[in-house]
Amino acid sequence: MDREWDELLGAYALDAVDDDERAQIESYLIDNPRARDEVRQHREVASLLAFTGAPAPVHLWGQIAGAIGGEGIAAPPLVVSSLSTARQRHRASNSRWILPVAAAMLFGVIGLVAGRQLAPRTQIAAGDPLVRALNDAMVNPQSHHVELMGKDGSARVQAVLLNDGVGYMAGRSLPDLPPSKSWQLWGMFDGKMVSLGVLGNRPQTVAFACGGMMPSSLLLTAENAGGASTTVEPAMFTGEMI
Amino acid sequence: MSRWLHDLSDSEHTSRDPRSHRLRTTDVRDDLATMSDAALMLAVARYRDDALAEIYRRHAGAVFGLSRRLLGAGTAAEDVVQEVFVRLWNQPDRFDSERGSLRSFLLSNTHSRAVDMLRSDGARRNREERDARRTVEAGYDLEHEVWDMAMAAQVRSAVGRLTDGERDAIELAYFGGHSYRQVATLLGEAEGTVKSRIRTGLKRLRLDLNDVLVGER
Repeated sequence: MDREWDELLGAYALDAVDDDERAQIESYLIDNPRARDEVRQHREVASLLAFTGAPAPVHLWGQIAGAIGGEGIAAPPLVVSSLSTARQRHRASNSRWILPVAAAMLFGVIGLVAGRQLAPRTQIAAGDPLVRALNDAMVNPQSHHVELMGKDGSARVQAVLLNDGVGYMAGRSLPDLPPSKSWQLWGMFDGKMVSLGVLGNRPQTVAFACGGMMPSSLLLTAENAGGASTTVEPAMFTGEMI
Repeated sequence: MSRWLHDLSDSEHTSRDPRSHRLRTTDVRDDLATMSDAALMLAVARYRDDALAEIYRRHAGAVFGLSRRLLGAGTAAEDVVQEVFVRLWNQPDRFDSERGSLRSFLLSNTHSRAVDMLRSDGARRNREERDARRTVEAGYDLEHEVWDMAMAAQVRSAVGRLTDGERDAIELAYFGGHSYRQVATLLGEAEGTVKSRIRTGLKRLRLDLNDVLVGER
């Protein structure tokens, strides 16, 4: 009988068993640590298959924040920029598996280092999916471009929005902030400023989502690390939608 | 912005139940972005909403992507995301970092909830419509679902080494939300064959992706 249940562990891990079988398998798992471990392993594998670059809609965070009962809840988070962070963490934590793909990553790493001094931003880390997405969006004839100008006009930041409300910004153009501060991106929607993401103090290429709506302009403020739900800080960069 | 006081060294506050005495502070300035998922979950257990925000920032894209893949572009997919993160906030002790990664935990919850919704009568029709397309595309979508740059190549390669039968069975069960019995019907195979293929396929992926999985921890 154990073998019969064991055969179902893969399907169970993928929620692909019927309710009556599920109850029986869960009863089986209670006294079987080996089977529990197998289910855990199957779910870990499945989580890799589920990876996706699609950002969650910005307004979803607002709903969650409201549901957990906080006024003045933590700032709406940026969604996709975690990819680069995850990648760095992944590289640092495991040198074994990265070796076979070192050649693929090497171009990006060298490009990143060299690019800080030499290359145009759009050529840096060409293997980075966000950079590729930004570049693709830049040449998309349907996209909307925004050039955010610094207050003194000395710096410019390029951003682009697609018709589905997903946008990208070349955050590397921004000057670094101290660790206690963070850049925060805002969109102007019908005269209201809505946070589109907390970018950190040294942003790279970032993605953001406008929930299917198109802002009339984008703004960047320097906030305390962690961001703000509303801001009283002056806009350091502003740009109108073209 | 608000932050919930969480410092264990603050005996005045840690002697209280944080769930009944939420105390705000603006003094905590640790760098959430550098914290591990497990550390963030400890902060969530102490009712730090900014820790939940950081978890959302890291994982909501994958959670939403899976939910949308199963339920389509309607509000149901968003409802599942909200449920998953609110549940994480309300029941942080359900996550055990010794038993797997937070992302796996979130995605497992997402998948389970989405499948529940998918198997309800209301969503069945939409699924049947999508099944027609998916049957044609089986295999293709699974390979293209893996997006994260750091591991896409390895995952894609591992998926490519599955047999067609294994890949189709996993695809229809995981992304289609079908039971193995339904998968057997869709593929015209015996139920025993399908559940075996799902299991052996997952095991094969596990072996191929072990290094990736270790790195995810």
